[in-house]
Formats: sequence, structure tokens, C-alpha cells
Amino acid sequence: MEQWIAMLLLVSAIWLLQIRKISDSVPILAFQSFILALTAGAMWYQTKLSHLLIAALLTLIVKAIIIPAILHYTIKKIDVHRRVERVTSKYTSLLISIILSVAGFYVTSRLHLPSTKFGAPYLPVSITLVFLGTFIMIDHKKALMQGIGLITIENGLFLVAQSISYGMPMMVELGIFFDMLVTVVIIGILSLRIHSTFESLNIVNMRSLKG
Amino acid sequence: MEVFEIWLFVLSLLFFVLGAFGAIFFSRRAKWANFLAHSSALIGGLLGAAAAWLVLSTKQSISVTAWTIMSDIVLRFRVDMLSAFFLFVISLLTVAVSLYSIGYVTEYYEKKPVGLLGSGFNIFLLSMVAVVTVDNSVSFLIAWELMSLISFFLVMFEHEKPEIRKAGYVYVVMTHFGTVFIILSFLTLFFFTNRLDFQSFTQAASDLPTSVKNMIFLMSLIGFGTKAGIIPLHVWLPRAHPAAPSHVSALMSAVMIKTAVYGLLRVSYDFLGDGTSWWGAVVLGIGVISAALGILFGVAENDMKRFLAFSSAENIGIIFMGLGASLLFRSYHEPLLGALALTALLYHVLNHAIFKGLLFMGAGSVLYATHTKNINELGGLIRQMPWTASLFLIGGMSLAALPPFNGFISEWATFQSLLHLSFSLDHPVWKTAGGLAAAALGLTGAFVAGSVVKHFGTAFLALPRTPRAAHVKEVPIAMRLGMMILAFGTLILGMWPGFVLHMTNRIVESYFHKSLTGRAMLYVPFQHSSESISLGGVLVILLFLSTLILISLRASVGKSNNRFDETWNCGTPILPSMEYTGTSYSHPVLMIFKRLYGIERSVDVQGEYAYYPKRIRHRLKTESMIESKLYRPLIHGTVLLSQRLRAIQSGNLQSYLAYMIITLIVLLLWIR
Repeated sequence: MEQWIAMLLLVSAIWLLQIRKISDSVPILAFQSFILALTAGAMWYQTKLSHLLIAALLTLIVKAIIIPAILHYTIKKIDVHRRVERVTSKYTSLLISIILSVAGFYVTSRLHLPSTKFGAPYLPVSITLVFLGTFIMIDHKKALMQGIGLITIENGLFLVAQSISYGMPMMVELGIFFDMLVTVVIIGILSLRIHSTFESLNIVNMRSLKG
Repeated sequence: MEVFEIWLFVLSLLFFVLGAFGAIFFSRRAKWANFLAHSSALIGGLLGAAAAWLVLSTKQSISVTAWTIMSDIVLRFRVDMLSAFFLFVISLLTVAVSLYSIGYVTEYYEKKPVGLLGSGFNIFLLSMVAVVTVDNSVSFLIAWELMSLISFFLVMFEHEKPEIRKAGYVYVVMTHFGTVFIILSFLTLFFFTNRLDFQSFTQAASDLPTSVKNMIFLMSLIGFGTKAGIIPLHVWLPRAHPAAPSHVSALMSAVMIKTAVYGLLRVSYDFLGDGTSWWGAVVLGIGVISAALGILFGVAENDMKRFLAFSSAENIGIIFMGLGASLLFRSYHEPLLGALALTALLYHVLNHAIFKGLLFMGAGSVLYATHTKNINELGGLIRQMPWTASLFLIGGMSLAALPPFNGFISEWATFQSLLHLSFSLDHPVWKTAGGLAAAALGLTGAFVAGSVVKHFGTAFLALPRTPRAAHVKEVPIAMRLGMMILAFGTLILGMWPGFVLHMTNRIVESYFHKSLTGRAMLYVPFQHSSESISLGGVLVILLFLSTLILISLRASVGKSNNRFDETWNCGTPILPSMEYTGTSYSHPVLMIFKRLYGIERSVDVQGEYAYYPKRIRHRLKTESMIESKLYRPLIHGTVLLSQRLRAIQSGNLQSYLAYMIITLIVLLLWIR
């Protein structure tokens, strides 16, 4: 069962690389976060550790509802039907994401990380999520997609912590959620500002900042 | 009794702190800030000197724990014999320079923030005291870095001038280059002993394997050598010292570069214990190069303070010669001779501090009165500034190692130790090296005397060359008093060396278990018995011989007759422009060592006929070989490499992210 849930997470991350419109990314992200909340909930059910329940509920509320809502609002403000722009072609990015997934699984098999009984199946996927999130940030040219990549990385890290030690201490977890929320709010506001000032969200233009 | 010394020491530190904060507090009122900063530094210096003297007299180290930062990192001041000696040197100079500063800083009223200058001066003193007294490698490095940074700010005090900014940057780069090596050597010590405090280093480091010891020694030699200004790491010295305000350059040259000698002594004598003989040889070689090249570069200078800075490199060379000789003697188990060489070097540390402080203050007085350091614009100052002139001359004679001034005694002792290298060590290499080093020291002495004559003669004698030099006043009484203290010191230390031996013996005893008496200073090297000559005897013989020569000259030539008349000058009036300049004085030397200086010379004759020129323009540009052959390619190469590396920095966010993830994957693959 855990394997299938993990696969769903992997697919959602790769899917983020294959979208056509920026607005498509929001439901996928919400789906990914929902699955993440599900894993935390399942772990709470199996272990009865109360802080896992809090983490699961927070993930559901913050990552699966509030953050997608903010992103959705931002995208609607800018332009709903805007096409994504990538550095590589669609198929190259698929190839690279598969290579990264293999690398993630290979690396985890070599690492001998201390993992928990119920978390172990998620470990390879969680590392792969970090890789893929970074690749989303690299591959996409639009500033908003950098934020989505960042959230994917965060989801991966959340899962790493869960599979190694059933999550981080509650205070740390809360801090990370708050950071995440603030980050997305800032990304949203900044994307609006950047777009209204430069008529573009293409981060390639940042190259002209170099001295 | 011990408690009393601790109080003296702590009070001295507190007075520096008071000066630092007080000057800032009164920064609106320049007069108050000046007076408060320098008088509290003066009192701090007096107290510190007293504490150091008491420690050396009673042979009781004192220690004060100020702050336990972490279990192994403690800010503790521990004044043992070596620290006490350097504390004494610093405090003595503090007294004289603070007194001088009260007068000198009036120059900056209304123009520059005097409060900041006074505050920086006090923090600088505090950091130097801390460098020689803390006994933990971490707090040592903090004090060392504070000293470097605060002296950088003081060098940059007149930052509105571009050449001073450039000097400051060269200084800060070089000093950090040195600090890197000091940190590395302490880290190596930490790595092998697992402790950070100096006492554990002393206990544990002598058992380290030789290769590790060699590494530590070489790294600390480079690190401290940069601060000391050994050639070829001296490039900051002739830039930073002239750029700083004169009272600060007096402190930097007289004391700050000595903290490097302290560090090197601490590492090589205290920590590492017995070493291999090539350490001594390396240090001796560096000493010879620094002394000879330092003064050769100095001869060419027409800027008084630049000359003094080069002469500091030369004197550090002499100190390093003494250090090299003593390390060599130690490795060959010759305790008495090692003690002699160590005494010579410590004595020279004190002497150089005193006369170089005096000379820098003298140059500062000239600058104060005329607003120029270029001796070719000066001349005839002795008439308006007799005090400054005579005090500068005393400092100069001491620099040139003329008896009865103090420079003579320590250079004499250094000569002795170098000659002992030749006569007492049974190895052809040391026999040759000792002789060559002694010859190099002799050459150095001759050039020093020549350049002192050049600077004193051009600046103070003859007629004023420019209106600047013609309308001058004697400097304020505080400045004269400050210089007088040190001038008095040169005489005292030159005539009564026992006073210094009383201090240096405490250090020498702890490393060689021998103490030197006045007689040992005068051992005749080529006789193995302990026969010695007495200085008094030499004096009597000299007096006798000179009277004999005088009488015989009287007998053969007759009474000398004097005629006072005007100098004949082909009937034209005598003008200052006809005088022999500093440039012309040193020109023959420049021509002999042409390759060393990299001279660019152009003579431009204007006028219809070459034999009746209307104007002659003579340009002489020297650039030291070290800078053009060593530093230029190095800087060029670094810039080129950095430009290549800059390709990585594309400004593209995606590529930066790609670097991150590639690094992450590689790291994950690498560790298992």
C-alpha cells in the first residue's frame, strides 16, 4: 500500500514538469500535498503518535488548501492561460526527471539511513522529491514555478523527516509551516509586483543583474 | 606582593579602556578628547611598565582570568617572563608616544575626528598588550586580528587621499595573508594536542613528530614574518607606515612589528622546544636578506618616513639574525652562546623600539612643522628647530649603531653571536654562514650610517630649499618631551646594559638555564676561554690613541688656523637650488645596485645649445625588483584566474540551482 502512495507522490512531481499552462500546476501541487497529508495521517493511525496527527492536519490545511489558494489567486491576477516556458523540451525534461528518480533510489539504497518501520517505504521517494523539486526550479523559466519547485522540495524534506524519525519536533515543524506560508505569500506578492513592473516573469532576465 | 602586580596590570588595561571610551564620549570637543585619550594612555603605559618590571624583578608570573568563554576558550591574561619583557617594551613606548601625541594631534583639530583617533590609539594599545599577554590561542587570534584591524583603520585615518587608501588596502591584504598562516599553525597544534591554551601547547608540543614541528614552525614563520615585515613579505611596511599619522606609525614600527617577534619566540622556544638546526639557518638567511635589502631600498628613499619604514625591515632582519643564531646554538646544545644570541635579539627588540620610536616622532615633528616628508623640499631646519634636530640626530646615531647609544650594544652582541657561529660550531656550513652573515651585518651598518647622514644632512643642515622649510617653528613642548624620554633611553641603555640584562636574563634563564653577566656580552669569540675585554678598557685605549694622533699631528703640521670668508661661487649668488640633494647623495649607491632597483632615468635638456641649457629636467624612478618580479606576476595571475573562474558565475538562477543539486547528488554518492 505504502509503495503505491509513494508512487503517486513521484508521479505528481514528474507531472509538474509536464504541464502546459502555469495554472495547471496548482491542482497538482494541491494533490501532492493532499497525498502527503495522507501519509502523515496513515503513520498516525499506525503509531498513534499525536504530533503526527497535528502535522497531517497542518499539511492538509496549509499546503493542500491555503497555499494553492494563494497561488491560484496570483495566477488569476496575472494571466490564467499563460503557457509555461522551459529551458529543455518536454521530453528531455521527462528523461532527466527519470534519471533523477533513478539516482534518488540508487543513492538511498546505498546510504543505510536509520529509518522507521512505517516510514521506510517513503525514503527513496522523499529524496527523489527533493531532486525533482530542484529540477522544477531549474527547468522552468517563470518566477512562479520557482515557488512551486520550492514547495516540492519542502514536501520531500517533510517526508524525509517523517520516514527517518516520524517527523521533526513539533516546534520545528510549526516553524517550517509558518516559513512556507510566508514564502508563498511573498512569492505571490513579488510575482505580482514583478509582473506589473516588467510585464514578464521570466527569471532569465535576472541575468542583467550581474555586475 | 603578587596581588599588587595584578592590580597594576589590570589598572593599566582599564586606563586604556577609559581612554578609548572617553575619547569617543568627548568627541565633540577635540581638546578634551585629545587630552583624555592620551593622558589615560600615558598612565596606562606607566602602570603597565611598572607591572612588567615587578614581574621580571620578582620572577613571579601573574595571571588574571577575565572571562571563561567556553570550557576550553578562556580569556586569561598571563604575564610570564617573555610576556613581561614585551609588555615592558610596549608600555615604555606608550608613555613616550602618548606624551608626544598630546602635541601632535593638535594638528588635526577642526579637520578630522580627533575623538575617533584617540579612541583607536587606545584600542590599538590595548590589543597589543593583549597579544603579548593572553595565553589561549583563540583569544590570541582575536587580539591579533583586533590589532591588525584597528591599525588598518588608523593607517586609513586620512582616507580622503587616494594613495593612503591604496596603502591601507595593501596593508590589510598582507596582514590577513599572514594571519591565515598563524591560524593554520595554531590549528595544527590544536589538531595534535587537542587543547587550545598555550600551557598545554608548551607541555605537549615538544613531543610531536619532527615533520609536524617543522610544519608548525614554517607556518608561524610565514605568518609572523608578514607582520614583522621580513623581505619579501615587507611590501605593506613602506606603504602603511608613512600613511599613518606619525604617532601611530611610531607605535606600529616600534612596537607592533615586535609582537610578531614575540609570537615567533613563543612558538619556537616555548611550544616546539628543541628543533632541527635548519630552522636557525632559515631564520638567519631571512634575517640577512631583510637586513641587507631593507637598507638598500631605504637608501634610495627621499621620503623620511618611508626610509624609516625600510629601516624597520632592516632592523627586523638584525633581530632575525639573532634569532637564527640562537636557534642554531640551541640545536647544537651551546647554552651560553645561545643565551648570548637570545639576549642580543631581545636587547635589539627593546633598542629598536626606542630609537625607531624616537626617529618616527622626529619625522612626525618635521611633518608637523613643514607639512612635507620629502627631504628634498627641506633644509636648514636645525636653526629654527634645534631640539627636534638634535633629538633626531641622537635617534639616527643610535640607528647607525654608534657608541655610546644603545643601538651599538645590541648590534655588537649580534655581531658577537654571528662570529661565534663561525668559531664555535664545528661544521663548515655554519662556519661560512656565520662569517657571511657578519659581513652582511657590517654592510648593513655602513648603509644605515650613510642614509642617516643623508636624511639628517638634507633635512636639517644647509639652507632651506623651499619656503615651507624656511618659515617653521619649533614643535610644542609635549612633542619634545615625548622624544626626550626616548632620547634619554637611548643613552641610558647604551651606557648601562646591565639594566636590560636584568630583564632579559629572566627569559634567557628559562630557556637556556644560563644567565649572562656584563662580561659574557664581551666574550672574544675566537678564544675559547672565557677571556673578555672590558668596554672601559677599550674606551681608555681609544682615548689614548686619539690623543696620541692629535699630538703627533700638532707636532708635524703645527697649529691649525681658521679663516672665515664667503664661499666662492664664480661670482654668482649662492642659492638653495645649488645644494646637494638627497637624491644626488644616494645616487652612486643606486647606480651600483642598478639591477636591484629597476631604475628608470631620463634627463631632458631644454634650450638652444646643449652646453648652455636653459632648464634641465631630471627624472628618476625606482621600482624594487621584488615588486616587479614577484608581486606583479602573482597579482596578475590571480586576477586572470579569477576572471576565468567568473565564467561559473553566469548570473543565471537556473545554473546556480543546478550547481547546488549536482553538489548534493555527488555528496550523497560520495558518503556512504
